[in-house]
Amino acid sequence: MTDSKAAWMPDWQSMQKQFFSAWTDAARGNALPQMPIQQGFDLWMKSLGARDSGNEVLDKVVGGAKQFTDFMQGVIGQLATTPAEMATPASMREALEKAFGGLAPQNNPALDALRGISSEGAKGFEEMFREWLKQVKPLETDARSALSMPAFGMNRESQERKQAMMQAFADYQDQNNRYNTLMFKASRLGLDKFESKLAERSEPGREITSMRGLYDVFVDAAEEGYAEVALSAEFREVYGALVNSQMRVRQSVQDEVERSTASLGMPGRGELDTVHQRMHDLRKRVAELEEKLIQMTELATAAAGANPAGDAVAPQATATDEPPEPQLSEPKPAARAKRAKAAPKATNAVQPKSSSRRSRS
Amino acid sequence: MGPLRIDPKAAFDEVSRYTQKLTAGAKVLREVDDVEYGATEKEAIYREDKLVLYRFKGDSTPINKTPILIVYALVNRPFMTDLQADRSLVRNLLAHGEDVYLIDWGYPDAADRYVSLDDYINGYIRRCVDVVARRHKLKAINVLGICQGGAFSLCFAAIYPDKVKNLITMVTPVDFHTPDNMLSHWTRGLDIDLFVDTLGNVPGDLMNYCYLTLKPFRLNLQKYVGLVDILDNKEELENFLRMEKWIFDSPNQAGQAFREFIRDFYQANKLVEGGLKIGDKDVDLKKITMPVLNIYAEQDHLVPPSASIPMKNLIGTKDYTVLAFKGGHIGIYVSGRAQREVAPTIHTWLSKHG
Repeated sequence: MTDSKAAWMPDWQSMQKQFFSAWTDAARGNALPQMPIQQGFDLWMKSLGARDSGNEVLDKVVGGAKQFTDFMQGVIGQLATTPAEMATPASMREALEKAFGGLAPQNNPALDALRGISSEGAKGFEEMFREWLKQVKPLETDARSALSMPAFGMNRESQERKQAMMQAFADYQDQNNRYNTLMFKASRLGLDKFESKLAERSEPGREITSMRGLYDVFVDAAEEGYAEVALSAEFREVYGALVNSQMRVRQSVQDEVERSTASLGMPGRGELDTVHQRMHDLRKRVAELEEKLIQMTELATAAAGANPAGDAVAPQATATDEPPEPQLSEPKPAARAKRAKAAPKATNAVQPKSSSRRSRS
Repeated sequence: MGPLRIDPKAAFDEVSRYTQKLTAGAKVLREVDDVEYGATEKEAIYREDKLVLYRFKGDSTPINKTPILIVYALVNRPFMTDLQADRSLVRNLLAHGEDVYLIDWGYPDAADRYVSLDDYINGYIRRCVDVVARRHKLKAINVLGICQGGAFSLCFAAIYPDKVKNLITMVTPVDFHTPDNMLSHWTRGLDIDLFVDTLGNVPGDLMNYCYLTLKPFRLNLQKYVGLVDILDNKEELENFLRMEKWIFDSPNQAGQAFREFIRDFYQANKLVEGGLKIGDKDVDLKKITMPVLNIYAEQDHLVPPSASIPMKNLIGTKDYTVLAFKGGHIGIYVSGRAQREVAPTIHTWLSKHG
């Protein structure tokens, strides 16, 4: 990150002066040649270093500022050619659409907002999938070539799996297109609502008096448009289909990777899952046994108390007046040694109070 | 007349101020200190697997003889309840004389993939409640469940009513099928078995992404435009960064528990429809007969009020109190209003219930 404030600040100040005088001219009916906000912003960006600085907050601030300056530029462009009091909701909407570079299924504010979320702290389906696909690209190429060949002989099963994988890829693309279409719809709805909200604010006394105020109206409208789509039955179906299709692709590729690694003698995910599941089941059974043992100890202790002559069967574990406590934090070494000394006499089976399971952190 | 009454001079000033803030912010961002959360001193009193049960230390001896155990959600870290000294539910409860314990679930890894709701509720929570009860020589303690942890607490209180003296739920969903519940709406088309079988544990990053996509313009753009307002204020910026750290410090979700939670709560809505089993235990909310205080947030976009309000008619208690907090899912812990209202309400309510 460079500290070039001194170098760029005079330029920026000069441009702001130009901006103000140009706008004043425009308000008098002269054409506005150029809007310098974006250039000023670009200069500021240079002073900080580019986006993707490695500082996530900085990148987010810069990203948000960029969008806001795009927005302001669109508004100022509109105001420069039309006096503020003459700007209509429809003309404001048009200006905003232009500021966003037009509206299309692959280029719309809703999709941009979703894409913008991906970061170190939040990786979406699309982002995760893109990163992950980089790793499995060779498989995709392999699978594509397999599609053109008939499946027979020794490689039949393998080829069929790869063909199924390609089918899953194709399905994912289809679902992604359906999703993008809905985001386009959300953006259009958002702009419709923006226009409606502006119309509502045309009443005397309710006018918008600041850029930020106008931006907030845009955000409210965009969220409402998005929510209307996102809460629809169609979106529920499309969203589910998109996620499910991506999972099918991932699963088929994971299976292929596992087969490949297994052929090299490496353990795969499936084997680890088996181990983890068995370990989990085993630990659960041990916990249940421990608790049963504690209950038996308590019963035996109570019985011994009721019959001091000793008719009851003595418990294996240490009998105390209080039921044994579960392990409390990490035992101190001295306490551990003391207990280890006492333990062999108490039981040669399961020690109810302590287990490695409970003392691990 | 049009919708705009923006004076060119005022607009110019606004642009200038914005860029000045950005410029000053560039300097402050370089000077800002590392931020941590978890302000109150605490002692680990029990550990099991990755779980740690903490007891918080107040400045004075607790007055209330029945301690509170906070059961937080599995998503995000539980230290939202103790974010910083002047924004801490825990600290406020301690100041009112409550004795506060909290379960920190830790960060599940691949070895925890098969940890289920049975393990969490009939295992971890039950043992933590037993540990706290034993320490205080009590049969039952107060349980404060938050969000998903609130749903767990409802299940726990229904299965083990004798272990819960008073139940407090905060931003807790009960009815997952209300029309304004976007998160629930999205999960309904998921093939949750395919999802978990493929991913194993569910990445915390993916959870965050889903939360941010609930309001993509507000949470990903407007929030950072607004940040510029405080970008030149080191202290406020650090507060903001502390919150960011909490938001994005998200543990992965144990696959099996996630599968069961989505299937039984989000998709089948079994807390309302009935038929919920946790392990081999039936969950019948009518067995929740202890006093219940339910606190929901009126502007909650994750757990809409409509998801929490039906609790009253689903549980068995005749002693039900509700607090509608004016704020959102996070503001209920960290806003100025929360500091004034939430802990005092809990304390006063507990005082009345012994």
